[in-house]
Parts: sequence; structure tokens; C-alpha cells
Amino acid sequence: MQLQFKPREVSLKLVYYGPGLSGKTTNLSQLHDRIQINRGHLLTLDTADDRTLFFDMLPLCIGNGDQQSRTGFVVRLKLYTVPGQSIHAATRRLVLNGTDGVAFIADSRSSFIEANAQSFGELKDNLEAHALNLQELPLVIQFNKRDLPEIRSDADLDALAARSTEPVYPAVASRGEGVVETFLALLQRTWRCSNASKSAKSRSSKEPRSSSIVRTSRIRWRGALAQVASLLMGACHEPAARVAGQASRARSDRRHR
Amino acid sequence: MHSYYQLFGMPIRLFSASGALLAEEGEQAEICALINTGAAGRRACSKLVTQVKRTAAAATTACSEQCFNSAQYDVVPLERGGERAGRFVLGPFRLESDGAQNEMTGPGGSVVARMLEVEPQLNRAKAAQALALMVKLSPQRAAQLKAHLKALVELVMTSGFEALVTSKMHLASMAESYRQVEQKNVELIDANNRLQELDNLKSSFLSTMSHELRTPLTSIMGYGDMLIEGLAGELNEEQREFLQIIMRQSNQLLELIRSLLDLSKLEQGTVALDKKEVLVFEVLAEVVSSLTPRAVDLGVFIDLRKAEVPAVAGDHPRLRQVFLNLVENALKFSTAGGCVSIHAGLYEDTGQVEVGHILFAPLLQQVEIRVVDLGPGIPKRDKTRVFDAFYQVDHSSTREHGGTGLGLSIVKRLVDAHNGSVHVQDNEPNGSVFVVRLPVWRPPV
Repeated sequence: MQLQFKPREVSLKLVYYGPGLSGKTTNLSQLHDRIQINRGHLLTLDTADDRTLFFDMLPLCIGNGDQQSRTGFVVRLKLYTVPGQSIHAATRRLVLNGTDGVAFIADSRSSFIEANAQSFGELKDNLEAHALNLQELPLVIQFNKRDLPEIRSDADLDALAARSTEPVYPAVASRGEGVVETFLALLQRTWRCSNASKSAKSRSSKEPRSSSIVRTSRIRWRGALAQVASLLMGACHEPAARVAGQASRARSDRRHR
Repeated sequence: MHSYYQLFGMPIRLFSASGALLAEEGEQAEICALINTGAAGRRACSKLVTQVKRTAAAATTACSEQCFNSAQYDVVPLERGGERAGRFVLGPFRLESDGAQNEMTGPGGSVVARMLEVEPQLNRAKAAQALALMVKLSPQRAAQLKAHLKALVELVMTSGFEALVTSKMHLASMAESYRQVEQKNVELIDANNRLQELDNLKSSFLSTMSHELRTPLTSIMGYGDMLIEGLAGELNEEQREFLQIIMRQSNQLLELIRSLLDLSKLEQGTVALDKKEVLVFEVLAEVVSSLTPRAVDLGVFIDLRKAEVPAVAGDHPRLRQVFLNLVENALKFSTAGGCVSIHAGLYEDTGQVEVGHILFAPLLQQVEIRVVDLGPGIPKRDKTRVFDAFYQVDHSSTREHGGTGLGLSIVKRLVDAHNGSVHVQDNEPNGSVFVVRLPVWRPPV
């Protein structure tokens, strides 16, 4: 996270990681389609075989000029995807530099179990190279392509998710299902984590000024999160029950934390 | 920008976010040149320019600044991705107000009068003429022009930025790839040299082992066989018995040498496993059928329970060796009337959950095979040592039960080579349980 006091801005970098063709770019373009205001250009290179060559980037901005001047910070989000193919290992490592949170997009098909695990192992190694680790870094796992045959069963995933430390979301990114939930969960965890670490730092170094700014920004953040949630949820086409289920899951997750 | 100037005759200046002039198009208007001839005019003009610059630097929305000669400068901030990225300044130009044109700018008009107040030495007629030459736009037209130019410049900036970021990324990833490849190369050359040395050592050791030990033994056994068959003359009963002991012990020695070779190969990791989809039950059934005669001799019952378990990833002959050793071991320590039971089942670790467990869980699924005997059992302190080469729990029982002390260490190494695990548990009230866990077979993608 970067805090810039002069323009009162908080920048968060969120990376969508996962094996090749698991739907990282699809997640980003679905978000891009749903957010109609304050969004930047989706920087993506269309390739014939749907392969990401370098990375995709979607800048988002939460909070407009008016609100910013009254209270806290403008939150600037940068969403990145990595190229999934194994030959782009160096690019993946570079994109992870300075990341604040990671959404791991896994392919639900049984035949991709090893590819998912391998990619996750690589994610761990790459983060270590940037002196980050998954025990501290906010992580959300999405099981994409739930509409395909021969996938890992819901019962299997539910049972494992109940024991997992990180939230797990099912998704059909091509239809936009689960995309928003994944993004909001990641955003929430990232913010909570950044806040915790910043306040811890300010406590230890006894800088009351910094902590007060963070407090202000935390208040501001609630509004910003609500704003982006309403923006996205309004655009959500999913059955109401499912959305409600996910929301209650997110709530229980918050309590749990 | 040049075409804009050509089309509308309006000077344009483009500034970066830090205020540096990036591009400029247009010439000084005639009226400005006229004003700048006098000292007072020049002062007033530069004051205005400073004012425009100050406004421009602070502007977050489009704004304009009016000159005393009724011309105006429009400042339009540029944005990229919601951030300020610079600005452009249009002007000077004049807005067309409806009517009263001549009254304003004619030789007696109020604008000229205002200019004369600032610069008294101005030629009234010339000023009016120059003023009339200045670019005029309707407010609506000016707004359209600004919006269009803003959109255009922002588009150029965005695409330029994308190209910049992409090429930077490309460069960085290429450099990183190159560095990694270089590093890997050095490591590979090192590793290759080391491996070659090791390979030479290993080959010579193995050939010595097999040649120097097995050749004399083969001769001993061959001649022993000939003696038993009476090729060197009739043997008496005692001689025949002694020869049979020699043959039995030689066979045991050969078996030991074979195990040692196996072990050394396994330790060096040179055993190539041909991993395929293996049904554990089939392997166990083979093992049981080949050991049944011995079990019958010993009066021990082998109980193999059939269970539905997934296939494991393994090398069939090697797995057979593992279970042969384990069941043989169990039989060896069983007493007549005892029972050795074998069962297989699915095992899942329910211990500590790590980050990303849900992704790894299917890969952690294992098939567990338990070989249970009712023998003397293994003391706690020996539970891990039984897998050491040549280790025997009870040295005095070595003679009674025979064996080389290599069986379990071979089991351990073979199971390790399968990415599995083996350990011993107690079988209450007596006996021990050897637990082998092997990874579930996953078809390659």
C-alpha cells in the first residue's frame, strides 16, 4: 500500500494469479464491464488464443473529489493479472512486486488440480522473492468454471473451504457469477490487513499523526467500500439467494476474523 | 496541434503535470505584438501571463482568464486514469458576444479605451484594426473545440502510456529471463560436472560389488551342486548334509548381496521407477498368493480384506517387493495359529491446515495399507530404527528368525521413492502394524 499525504491518496495493488486459461483476464473484464464510473481503461492485449502476453491492468478509483476534500483519502485500486503460461515466469514475478493482495483463480476441473497446485506453489516462491508471504498477505481463492463438466464437487470444495483459512468462492467468470464476490472479499481483506499493519507500525514508532490519518482513512474506507459494493451489486445478475448466501458468508468471515 | 492551429488559427500550448512546456503551436497575435511595443503594455501583458500560469497550475477543472484586450486564455486540465496528467492552454482568442461588436472594438469602443488606459501610447486606429483580426469563436464552438481537443490528447496519452508500460514490462521481463537463464546455465554446468564424477564412482562400485562378490559365490554354488549330484563320486550321508548347509548359506549370501545392491541403488536414487496406475489390491493379492505356501507351513493365516480404494501412482514390481518384504516380515515374527491381516483404505490428513490447502488437498490424498501381525511387537525406541539398514531389534533372535536386516530399509527407500511414507504402530495388546501410505494416482494432463 502506498499512502500519499499530499493528494490524500491510498493506492492498493491487487493481483489476479492462477494457472493458464483459468479466467483471470475474464474476471477483470467482467469487473470493468460492471463498473461504469471512476474506472480507467482496461489495459489488455487481445490475442487470438485468449492468452495474456504480459499482463492486464485495470485502474479503479473510489471516492470522488467532493468526499475527498471533506474527510479521508481517495482509494486508488490497480488490478493486475499475470500471464498464466509457464514460459512467462519472469513476468509473473515482476507483476507481484509490491502487491497488497492476491486473488487466486483456480480451474475447477479435476484435470487441473495439479496445474492449480503448481501455480500456487510458484506464487508462494515468487512472493518470497519479494519478501512477502501468504501467512500475512490477503488471499482469496476462486474456483472458476463451475459450469463445466468433470469438476471438483461442491460438497468436496465446501468441506475443504470450511477448514481453510482463506475465503473460497465458486464462480463462472464468463457469465460474471462470483466475480464481484471474489473482488469485494479481496478488497475487504486487503484493506483490513493494510490497516492492521499500518496501525501496528505507527504504534511501534509512536507517530500519532500517521495513526490519526489512518483512522480517518478507515472511516472513509467504510463509505468507499459501501460505494463500490452498491455499484457492483447493482450490476450483479446473479440469483438473489446466492448473492445473499455469499454476503452472509463474508459477514461470518468478518466475525471470525 | 498544427492542424488545429491551421483550422482555427488559435495558439495552443501543452504542459506536463509538472508545468514543463511540451509543445507549442501558433504565432503571436498582432494585437499582442502591438501592446508589447510599449513598456507599460509589456508589463501588463507579462502580469497577465503570470496570472494565467498560476491559475493553470492550480486548476482542477477547465477555467479561463480574461485579458484587458478582451481576449481570453482557456486552461483545460488533462487526466489519465483519474489522475492529473497536465494541461493545455488555448488562446488568446475572443468570444463572440451577440451584437455590440463594433461598439466594443471599433476605434471608439470600450475595449480599445481600456487598452489605452493601460498603454497610453497605443495607436487607436491600428489597435482597433489588429483587434478585429483576432480569432473569434462563439462560446458554444469554443466549448466543443476544447472538449474535442481534450478527448484527443487524452486518448493519445493513454495509448502512449500503454505502449510505454508494455515495453517497459517487456524489457524488464526479458532482462529477468536472461539473468535467470544465465544463472541456470552456470548451475547446470556445475551440477553436470558433479553428477559425472558421482556417476563414475557409482558405476565402479556397483560393478565391483556385483563382480567381485557374485563371481566366486556362483562358483561355490556351482561346484557344490555338482558335489551333491555325485559328479565327483558317491557322498556319504554326513557329507551330503554338510554340503546342503553350504548351499543354503550360499543362497542366503546371494540374497544378501542382491539386497545390498538394491539398497545401494536406492540410496543413490538410481532406481528408475516406472510410475503407472496401480491397483493396490491386485499387488496385495499377488503377494498373498506367493506367500500362502510358506504361511501354510508356519500355520499362520493371511487375511486380505478387499476394499474399494483409488489406484495409486506406483511401479508395480517395486510395490510388490515392498509388500512382499512387509508380509514376509510379519510371517517371520508370527507364531503358529497366528494371523497376519492386510487392509487398504483411503487416508486424508486432518491435521494442520496450511494456506491454499483447498488447492493441494486432492494431491495429498493417500491410500493407506496396513499390515498387522500378532508377533512380539517393536519397542518404542526401535520404531524408527527398524528402517535402518542391518538393524535388528533383537540380535539374539536374528538366528532364530534369520534375515539380513535389509528388508525394511529397502521398503522404506522404495516407499520414499514413491513419495509415500511408512511407519510402525503398536497392535494392542501385542504385535505391530506397518502402515504404508502411497499417493493416489492422478492421470497426467
